[in-house]
Amino acid sequence: MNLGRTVNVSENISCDQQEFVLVVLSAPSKMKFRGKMVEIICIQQFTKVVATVAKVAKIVALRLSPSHLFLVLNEQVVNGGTSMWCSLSQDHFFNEYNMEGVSAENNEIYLELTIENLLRALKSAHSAKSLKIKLTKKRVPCLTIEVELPSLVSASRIVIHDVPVAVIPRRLWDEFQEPEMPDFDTVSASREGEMTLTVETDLVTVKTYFKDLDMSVEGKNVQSQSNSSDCLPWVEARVDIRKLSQFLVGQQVNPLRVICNIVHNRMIHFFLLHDDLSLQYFLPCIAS
Amino acid sequence: MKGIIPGNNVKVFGRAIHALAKIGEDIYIESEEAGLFLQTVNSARSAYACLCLSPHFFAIYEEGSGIKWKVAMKSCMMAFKSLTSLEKNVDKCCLELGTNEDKLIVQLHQKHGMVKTFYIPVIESETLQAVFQKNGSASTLTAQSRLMSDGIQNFQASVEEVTLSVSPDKVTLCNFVDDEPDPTKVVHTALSLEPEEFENYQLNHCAEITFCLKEFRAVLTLSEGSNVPVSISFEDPGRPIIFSVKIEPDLEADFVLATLADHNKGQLSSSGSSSPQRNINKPTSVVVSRPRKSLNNKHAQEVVSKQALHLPLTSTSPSMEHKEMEEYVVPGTPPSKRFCSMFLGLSQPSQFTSMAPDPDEVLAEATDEEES
Repeated sequence: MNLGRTVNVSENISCDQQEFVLVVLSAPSKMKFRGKMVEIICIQQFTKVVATVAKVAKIVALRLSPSHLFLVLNEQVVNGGTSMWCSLSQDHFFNEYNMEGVSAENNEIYLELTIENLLRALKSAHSAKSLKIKLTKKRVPCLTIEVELPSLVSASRIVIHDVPVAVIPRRLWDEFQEPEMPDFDTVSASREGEMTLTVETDLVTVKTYFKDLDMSVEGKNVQSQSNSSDCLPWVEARVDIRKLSQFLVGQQVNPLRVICNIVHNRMIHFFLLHDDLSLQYFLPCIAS
Repeated sequence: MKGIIPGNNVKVFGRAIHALAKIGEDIYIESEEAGLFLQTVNSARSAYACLCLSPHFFAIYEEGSGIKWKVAMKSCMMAFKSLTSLEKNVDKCCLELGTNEDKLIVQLHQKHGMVKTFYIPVIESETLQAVFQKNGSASTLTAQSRLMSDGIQNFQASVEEVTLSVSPDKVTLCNFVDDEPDPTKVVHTALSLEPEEFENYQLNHCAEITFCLKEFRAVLTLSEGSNVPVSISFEDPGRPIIFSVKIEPDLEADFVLATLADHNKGQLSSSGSSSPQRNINKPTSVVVSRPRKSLNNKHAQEVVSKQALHLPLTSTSPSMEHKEMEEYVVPGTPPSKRFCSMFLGLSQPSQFTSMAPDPDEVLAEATDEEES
């Protein structure tokens, strides 16, 4: 991910707009976004999702569509090649949600931002009465987080954070599409619902055995394989333990369901599912 | 001097030391009839704190006339490191300092008859005298510590300076964003508070004052623990801002912080927090809180403290000071000079030259220049 490539876009943004006016591009139409959350549970859950993403990513793309918000990490192979895809249903989180994309046929907005900045801004909102998120043009395009906090008097305390963002131009959108589900060799480590987690160092090898795991039948190959032999070979993926534990320790979504997919010697794919959000994390194998 | 602090005041005293420790590296101790005075100043000489403990703060207080000593903050902190342990275990604390001794003796009498004794070496016989006016034409706001600490929690930990903007119907606190790092990549945060949330709201004119958050946090260390209000007095940008804390009835503290001088004062109210013009005139970064490590520099400061600190209070009339400051400030001067807004009568060369016997002598400024 490279912030530099989007610099030319911000030049196109007309500068005559002052504060509190939504961002205007010289591109065919205006981009607008304004959302408001009122329920504290939603605000907190949203913050937790952002915190989870912030554990594994520094710079992410925020994609806004009329129905969903997506947080996308698309790391290049040289930087480790992990990727994340987090989808949030807007009507679950937001009480008001208005957006206008680049154009009628491409009614979406793609932004690039430092996720830690967004997270810190959201931390103001742990006891907020309301939280507004909007796209604004200050000196640079910003995602403005407006937090209304309770006070001792009738009027509220207002905290405004302007998180700088870069607008991702239309031609680069293809890089941020939902990753295709790979063809899984199997849906778990073995057909019997066993999984082994192995840590190997020069001095010690630790194996943890998990048994009686649920097997969901989703991968294409499972159907054919299940008809064949009972003793299928174990599949293996060797991954960076720091990244794995960062993700597992850092996740605050507390999902209803977690699916771990393993592609033999290629990647591990985590699928965290909760009511109105899903989070996918792709962790590629490292050379053994 | 001898003082015995009763158990219920030990924690307050500990917190006071902690608050001072967030500002300076030395404590200046003076014992007078009116009480015990503890003072500190930061290495950039842009923040100063003075604590007065009245004789009633102590169970026993014997004044030691003429005691003006300096001890290292680090040594003091050894004795008062853990506030929870002070609160839980310490029944009383004895301070002892003789005129001819070279040690401050701190004894913590703990439960089960345990006594911890700390011998804190006295560095020098020296005092600190600050030149500032507390009750000038200043505006004063008073608020509960809780309001302040809740407010500054919204700022990122990396924020060094904040700007307080006060108008009759609104108080805004925002992070001060300098040219470095790239201001377009920095999160701008602004907190608005209603005047009704303040206990006292006495405003002479609208102002935008920029000061360091680190020292402000030190103030709150002291006030929040005792849950007492903080009074903020300020005048114009460039004039010191004073935070006063009173822990009834026996402890009073003033924290005097330098503020950033502003040069487009006329445009300020209309142009918002950062017009490009204003940025050009600003020093690249305003670091008042970083300790200087250069030995050279430290030496220079010692010289300054001996010479300039004993300046009589009357030597600086506020108006003069202000004028001189405006003349002196040149774009591109090292930040510390500008930010050290002259309340100690120290960092200001024009004052030195007018008061020091020889204009070519000493002065921290020369060392500063070399360093930068």
